[in-house]
Amino acid sequence: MEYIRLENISKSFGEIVANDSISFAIEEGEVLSILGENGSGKTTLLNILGGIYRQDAGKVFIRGEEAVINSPKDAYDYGIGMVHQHYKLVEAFTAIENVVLGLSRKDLLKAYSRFGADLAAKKFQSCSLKESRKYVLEMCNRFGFVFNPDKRVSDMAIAEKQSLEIVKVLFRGVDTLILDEPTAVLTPQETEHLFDVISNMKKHGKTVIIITHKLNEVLRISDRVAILRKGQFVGIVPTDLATESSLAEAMVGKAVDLDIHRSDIEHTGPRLVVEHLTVRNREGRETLSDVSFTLFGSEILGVAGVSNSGQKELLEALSGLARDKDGSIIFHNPKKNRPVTFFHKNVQQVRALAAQGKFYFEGGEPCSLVGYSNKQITELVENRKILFYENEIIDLSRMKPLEIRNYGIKLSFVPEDRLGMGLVGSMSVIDNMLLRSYRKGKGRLLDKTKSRALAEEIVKKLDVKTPSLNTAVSKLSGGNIQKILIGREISNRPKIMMVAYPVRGLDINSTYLIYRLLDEQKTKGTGIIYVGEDLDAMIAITDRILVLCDGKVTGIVDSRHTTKEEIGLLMSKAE
Amino acid sequence: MNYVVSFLAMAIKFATVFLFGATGEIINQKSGHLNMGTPGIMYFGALGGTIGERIYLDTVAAGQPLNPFLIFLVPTLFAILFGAIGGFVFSFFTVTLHCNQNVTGLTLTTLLVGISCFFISAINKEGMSDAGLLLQNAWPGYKAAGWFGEIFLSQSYFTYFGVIVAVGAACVISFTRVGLNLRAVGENASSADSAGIPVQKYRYIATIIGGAIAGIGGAFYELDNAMGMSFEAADGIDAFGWLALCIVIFSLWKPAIAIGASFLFACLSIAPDFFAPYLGAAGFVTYILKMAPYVATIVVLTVVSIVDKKQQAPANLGVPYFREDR
Amino acid sequence: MTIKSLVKKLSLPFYLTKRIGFSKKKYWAIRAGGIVLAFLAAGIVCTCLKPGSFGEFYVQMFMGCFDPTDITIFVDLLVRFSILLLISVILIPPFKMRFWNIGAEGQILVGGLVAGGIAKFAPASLPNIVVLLICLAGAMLASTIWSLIPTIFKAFFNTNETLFTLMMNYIASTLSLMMIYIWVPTGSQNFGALTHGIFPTILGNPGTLAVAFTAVIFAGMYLYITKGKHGYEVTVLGESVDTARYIGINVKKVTIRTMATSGALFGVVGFFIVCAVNQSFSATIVGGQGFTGVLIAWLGHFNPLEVALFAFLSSVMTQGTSRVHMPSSAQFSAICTGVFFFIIIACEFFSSYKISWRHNEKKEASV
Repeated sequence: MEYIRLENISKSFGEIVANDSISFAIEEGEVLSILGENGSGKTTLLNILGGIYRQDAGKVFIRGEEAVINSPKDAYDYGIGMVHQHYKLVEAFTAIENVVLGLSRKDLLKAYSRFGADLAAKKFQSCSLKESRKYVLEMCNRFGFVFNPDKRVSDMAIAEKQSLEIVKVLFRGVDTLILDEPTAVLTPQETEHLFDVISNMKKHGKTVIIITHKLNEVLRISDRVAILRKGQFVGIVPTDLATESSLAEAMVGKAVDLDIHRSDIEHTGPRLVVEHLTVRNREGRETLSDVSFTLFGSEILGVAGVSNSGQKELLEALSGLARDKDGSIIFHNPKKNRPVTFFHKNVQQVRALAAQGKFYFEGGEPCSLVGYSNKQITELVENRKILFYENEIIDLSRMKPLEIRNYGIKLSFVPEDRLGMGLVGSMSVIDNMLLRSYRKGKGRLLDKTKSRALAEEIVKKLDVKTPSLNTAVSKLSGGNIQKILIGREISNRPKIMMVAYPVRGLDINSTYLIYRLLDEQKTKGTGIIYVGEDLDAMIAITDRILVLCDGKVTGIVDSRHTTKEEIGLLMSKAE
Repeated sequence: MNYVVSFLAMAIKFATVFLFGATGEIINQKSGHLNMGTPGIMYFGALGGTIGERIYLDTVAAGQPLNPFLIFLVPTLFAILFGAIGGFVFSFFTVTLHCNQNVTGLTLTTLLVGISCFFISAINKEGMSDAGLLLQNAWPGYKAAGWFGEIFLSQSYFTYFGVIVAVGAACVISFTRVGLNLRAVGENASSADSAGIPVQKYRYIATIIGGAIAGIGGAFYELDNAMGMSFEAADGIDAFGWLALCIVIFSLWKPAIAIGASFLFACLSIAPDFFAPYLGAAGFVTYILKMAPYVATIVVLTVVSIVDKKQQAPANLGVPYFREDR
Repeated sequence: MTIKSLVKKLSLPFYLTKRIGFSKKKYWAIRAGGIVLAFLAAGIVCTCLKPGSFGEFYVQMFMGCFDPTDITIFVDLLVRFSILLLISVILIPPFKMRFWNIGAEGQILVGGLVAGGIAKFAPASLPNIVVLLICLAGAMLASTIWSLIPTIFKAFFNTNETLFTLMMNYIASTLSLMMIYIWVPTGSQNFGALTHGIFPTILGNPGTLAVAFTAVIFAGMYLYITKGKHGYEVTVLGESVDTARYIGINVKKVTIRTMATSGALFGVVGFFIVCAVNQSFSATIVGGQGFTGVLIAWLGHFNPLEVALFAFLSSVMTQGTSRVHMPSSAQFSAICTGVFFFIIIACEFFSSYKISWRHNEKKEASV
């Protein structure tokens, strides 16, 4: 039976058309997936249904009647509730306070009667938190949720927050539940549990709409799947008739190769050796405990874990940002065949070191310098004929970011928060190139010639779509922002590169471009630490995966011989 | 003994002005509005109170006795109205027009102080100082209760009303659904919105009510002949407003604590003028005493920031909310 | 259609969307419209307070600022503008750094107090220029200290700087009153006319030279903010502390350095106000310009040139309205300035949001 019908829904943000005249119908009691790439407008569309956005044009019909949804409250009144990708919970409140938030006495009484209260039997029904708790727990029993009413949201794990969101929406008596990318932050096991919850809700007659870009999940859970592409509606098909490749093709608009290329090359020896790294946050709590691992050159080391397991802290500690840390971080700088210079040494010292057999000539023959005159030595050194092999070993554990850079260590960092840490949103593309290098040049004024050249190069090479080099980066799309950031970090020719969630929010083309760039860096000898959430992609691109759980390393596995389930278990391995 | 009694009685009177201002501002801030227009709104309330009193005095025929309760009630209603208008303007600019709260607040203070000064000085003040004396008569015969009566029963209706308002606000904020919703709006407006709370409405109402309460404080100051202190009438209400902002922080956003904090600040504020006659050659000490409330606020600010890492302020204080922001 | 949806249809007839990608032309058209509207509103306020004075208001405004027969009036305006411009521009770096310094008032006042004190007690045997230099140095030192007190607490303990600097204003003002009490035995509320350590009067105004110096300082600040490395660091720090830390900016150092710079410059402003413009000192000598500067820096979007425009308009508003005959002209001027700023603030709204009407036929009624 037709339940919700969208008719010619359009919505633009400035010049970006997020939804272009979308029409389709949702049936009662089904599990419908809304599938599309990042930026295809699926979240926008459902936000219109959930009352967050107001459509520019088009109508929504619910059970044949036109529905005007101007706010989330209106959406609830129509029986539609939404669980957003970024949870909308008040951190300072307890679970039960979050559930009853915003409900009037009338709403609460309705909810009570829905979950077992006999209002007629009582003269006066109190609506205190104590009463509410009773009925919320009753509801949780019915749907199979574990619920701790007095736990503060700020103390909750990510999966707990999600189930609290679902409880909150269900308590409002919705018939339709919209879940925006619900599995993005869950372990495989938690995802299974969520799927159980969804089928349970379906059994109770609820309609469930899932926004996702993961093909396997679509096939797993949904009855039908609606596909969006670049803001337009492509079609709606029963899941039985779909395959991964047919869905991918519909989603992207052409046949796509979903394989991620991983170059199989020998690693070039240890690049970064971390031992017993412990990091504490401002309140003195340990966010990383006793982490040890070795990163090799020409290797991509994945870091997996549910969110807030210490990934961010690990990367920040390695780049010198952590304030309170113990343990050692040793960097092996492979400076092969460097010419001897008079920068640190004089002729006598060169002679002495040569006698110890430290130096050699270009051809590789040893150079003891016995019998050479000072003048000859000076000439050889100045012509850079005398070489030495150096594998510099530097302890980074006490260094700040600037000291690391001043030491000449090429360490790149693509942080999770692109506009909050990697780039400055209000600054132009050119000015953002300056972030790492603005100190160079004499005088008190900035020298922008080099950064302009670099910006031009990146825009051209990585096909960044920007109106001009003077456009503020925050005005660009997520994919283009990430290209600029990665482009800048790669231009540094890093020895170590750390990337956090590099493809989050990107469309498929940009995603694969980023994967390709990372793999290319690997073949150039860079050691890469890759923090991500999509385990399938991580297994495909990395060489090894380090799993973090609650700040501890629970295992390091070989990506070529592991499974998602194995990693999932390590991710939730409680001690 | 006498000095102590009259000092404490005077402090309580002063504290009333602070208490109204602070309670109003706490309600503002609980909704996420850092309203720096409060000093101006208090001034505007004083204008309302003055107009109200003029109207009341004009309706009473010459020679007829004045009703002390009406001297309290009529100006208060006008002060509420004017304060509410001030709060409405602030929320119109910050909620509907999404303007910056600091800038709106400072401008509002400039404007309202200008308007209030302009009109208060134009109003005929005949009979007002006598009416002001009648305000104290909330409990006629308070002298029978000795020092207790002198300190606690000699106060005007405003003082008792102020305490009721503060306690009431504390209860509403902590124990009711409306209070829970209000706190949610101040903590995380977007979460509150998605829970079905009309964020804009809450912010409007909180700011209007907060403004109305703050306005009463200004009116009391003005009607009580500027506390009989050495200032010109209506001079320096905005200074009270800024101190009220400090009290909000001092009392960690809790109206019940604000009652005590207001009293403390009142003691610090009146001490210099109270002790001035006894200082003689060391007259500059009064100035040092005058700095005390400001220094005390700084000390509290600093101590709170050092000791309390979590910060008690509503998490979304000063943050505008636009639903379509992503 | 149910009653419920009917009720909803009757709710606000428009809704807002954020403007993205806004042409410079349109932006300035809206700003210009706002400025015209703001001046118009001031005239209307005047008419309300004094019926029939609408035309007179503008004549007085013009004559009060640009009287062609009296050059000193325009010089007055320039002096007023210079001081306000300096204050607003000096506030830009702290604001860009998201350091909400609303203590300009106090920081200027202590500078003025020290400059005035030195000028008052300097031995008559010292040449004027030497006294002036000592006054300048003293003022800069005092203002720097005054602005560093809240800064250090902010840098080390993240103490709320808005309220801290605000309190420092009141302390500065009380301190000034105390020093006047101590130094002026007559019980007067000011130092009286200074005879030593003062700027020469040129074109009928002792502040004329200060205008020339202001031009130099403004040029320097313009380069510092828009083209300098320090300005760049300040912008990055204001946008994101994390980014700043990652690229190796020492957050504490930059915060303290920026505030010390702006403090020292506020000392210069205090010095100008006392030794040049007023040639005297009282506790109300800054007269709220520290707060007006905050508004102007904000309305100018921290862009020195836009800030200069608004500082000029505000000076015209203040000086022009003070010429209009009103029972209490200072308050009248405050009312006009308040209305003026409110309308400009409101216009900000139209440049960042677009109003769309709910009914499709009336779509696109953006301003």
